[in-house]
Formats: sequence, structure tokens, C-alpha cells
Amino acid sequence: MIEKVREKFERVVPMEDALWVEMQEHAKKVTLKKGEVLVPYSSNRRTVNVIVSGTFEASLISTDGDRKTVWFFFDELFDVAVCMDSYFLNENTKYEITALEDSVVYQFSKNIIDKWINDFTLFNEFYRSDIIGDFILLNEIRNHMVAHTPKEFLQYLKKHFPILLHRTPSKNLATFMGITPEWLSKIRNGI
Amino acid sequence: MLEKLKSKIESQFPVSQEFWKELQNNSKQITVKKNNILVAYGSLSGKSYFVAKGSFKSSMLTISGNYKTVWFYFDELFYFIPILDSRVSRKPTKYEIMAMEDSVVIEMENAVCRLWYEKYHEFNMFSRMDLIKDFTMADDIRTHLISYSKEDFLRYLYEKYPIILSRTPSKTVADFMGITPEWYSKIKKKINLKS
Repeated sequence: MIEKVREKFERVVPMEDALWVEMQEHAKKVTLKKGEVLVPYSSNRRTVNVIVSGTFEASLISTDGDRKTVWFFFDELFDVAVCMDSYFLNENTKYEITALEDSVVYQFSKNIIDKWINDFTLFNEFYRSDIIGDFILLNEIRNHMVAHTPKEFLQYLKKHFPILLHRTPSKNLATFMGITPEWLSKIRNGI
Repeated sequence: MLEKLKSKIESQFPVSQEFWKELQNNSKQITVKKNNILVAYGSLSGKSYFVAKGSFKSSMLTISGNYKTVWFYFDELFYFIPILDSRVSRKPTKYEIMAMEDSVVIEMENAVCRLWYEKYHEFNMFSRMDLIKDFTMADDIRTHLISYSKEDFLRYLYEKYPIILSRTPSKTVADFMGITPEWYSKIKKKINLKS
């Protein structure tokens, strides 16, 4: 299954033999059942999780313990699941990442990722393209969400990111959009 | 003003003489008056900007034809304006960038920046780390915006990002939060009374 990590990489840049050897050596395979937690709230895990199969949701947990779905990760899109506050800012995370389907990820530590960024030019290029590319899309979706009505936003998702509608349970999508599942169902029928 | 960009990079990585010369020769300083537009909606600028002085707001043109404030840039925080949608898709941008104060930016061509990423380690590392840091903070702010009540969100901004409230006109913060200026003023008073 780690071959899938290689395929993802090679969609962007060619794989160097030395890097591939290191990747296999440092990858940790983690299998999760639907509903299991990949990254718990308040932990500080500085690892990336490359999703080779399945779906995850990230929830923001408020200080009162309220939970709100804020993002999704799939094996097809946004396939690197990470709590950015821990990974990039070295903070205990305010988020929790949970499997929405039976899923498999390969974990890599930040230390090894940073080493590869310095040691392998092609990895540096992949990182810039893949991570920043996902950030840009994330930014776009968030901007559309705050700027549009739920109906307009759903139309936008349907046109540009249909995977979010196809592979996400309605209840989770509704929480993400800040509306009730009934309202989501009504809008869905309307478009 | 270019010195400010140099010192930001130097706070993390040494700047080589060669890169410094390139930066001097291939960037342009632009002055933008308050309420003037730096990047127009629908343009295909192919440029990125470093805010050396002042502040800007980014607005998106919605499907229904309204402008909505979606982000901010300051000389102290979020000081890179990358115009990402047109940079990646090479399509006209859906955003408009307008000065909120009299401002000065350093303009850089994206094509030149791409060459610098390959050639100058300090620029590659600095821009990557800086963009990622900005993205991480921006995403955190937006997840709080969509998850918290308006009052809790404003309290969160006060605690974590006071610059957004101190240097942005109330009307613009209200628009960003999706509430009326009157409602914003009411919440602001309530929070001040509590604190």
C-alpha cells in the first residue's frame, strides 16, 4: 500500500531512489476503523498522515467542549491530514481528526520531512507544490464559505469540489456549513 | 523600504549579497493611498507584494455580486500578499486588494520569485516558512469564525490577534464577521464591559 504514497509523489515530481528507500524506512502504517481518532484533541503530534484510503474530518473543540466540523481529508483530495497548529506552530492542538470511513494512513515525522526538504530538491518541490497547493484550495473554500449564503456555497462545492458532497455524511457536511441536516437536505433538493 | 523585507528574511536566514542585489534590481516600491486599489478584481497580475508600511483588505466578489471582506494584510502581520488564485490557476482573480491606510508595498514578479526559490536558499526557506505560518494562522482564524458565536469570536481576536481590531475600521471587521456595524459595536461594548 505504500506504493500509493509513491504514486501521489510521482504525480508531481519523479521519485529519487535514495528518497524512496528512506520513505519506506521511516513510514509508519496506521489502520483506523470508522469513528476512531487519528489525532486527539490537545495532543502535540508533529507528524503528517498521508491518506492512502478512507476519509477523515477535523473538528475544532472549543474550551467548553463543543465540537464543530471544520475540514475534511480524503484519499483523493486534501490527502495529508495534519493538525496545523501542532505541526507548524508546535502547540497543543485545538482540533481532533477522526476517521469517517475505515481508513489507512502512512505517518511521517516532521523531523524527517524537514530533513528531506533540505536533502532532496525534488522533495522540496513536491512539498511546495502539494502542501501550498492544498493551502490555496483550503483558503478558497473558506473564503467562499464566509462570503456566500449556504445555498451559493453548496452550488460552489458541487461545481468545484463535488467530492465533499459525495463522500461526506450529510450530518458532518451540515455541521461544517453551520446549518441543520434538514436545511442542508432542503438546499440540496433545491439545487 | 526594501530594507524591511531584507531584515525580515535576515531574522531567520542570512541574506547573501547576490540575492540582495537581485532583490534591489528586480523589485519595485509602490505607494498606495488609503482606499486606493492595489489589485483590481478580475485582473491577472502575476505579482506578489510585501507590505512594508500600512495595511490592506482583501474582498471577494460573491456570486450575487456583492463585495465581502475576507482577509487582511498588515506591515506587522500577514505581510505577504500573494494573490494566490490567479497565481496558481493563471485566471483573473476573484479578489480585490484595497489599502486601508496610506501604504507602501514592494512588488515582485511571480516568475522572478520562482527563479529565486531555485537559486536562493534563504528566499526559498523564508517564503515557504512564512507562507505556511500565515496560512496556518489564517486558517485558525477562519475556523474560529465559522465555529464560534460572534461574541466568542471577537473575544478570540482580542486575545490572539488584537492588530486586526486595532488597525481595521469597525465597518470592515463587521463585514468580515458577517454582521452589521451596529451589532459589532454592541458586542465590542459588551466585551469591553466584561474585561
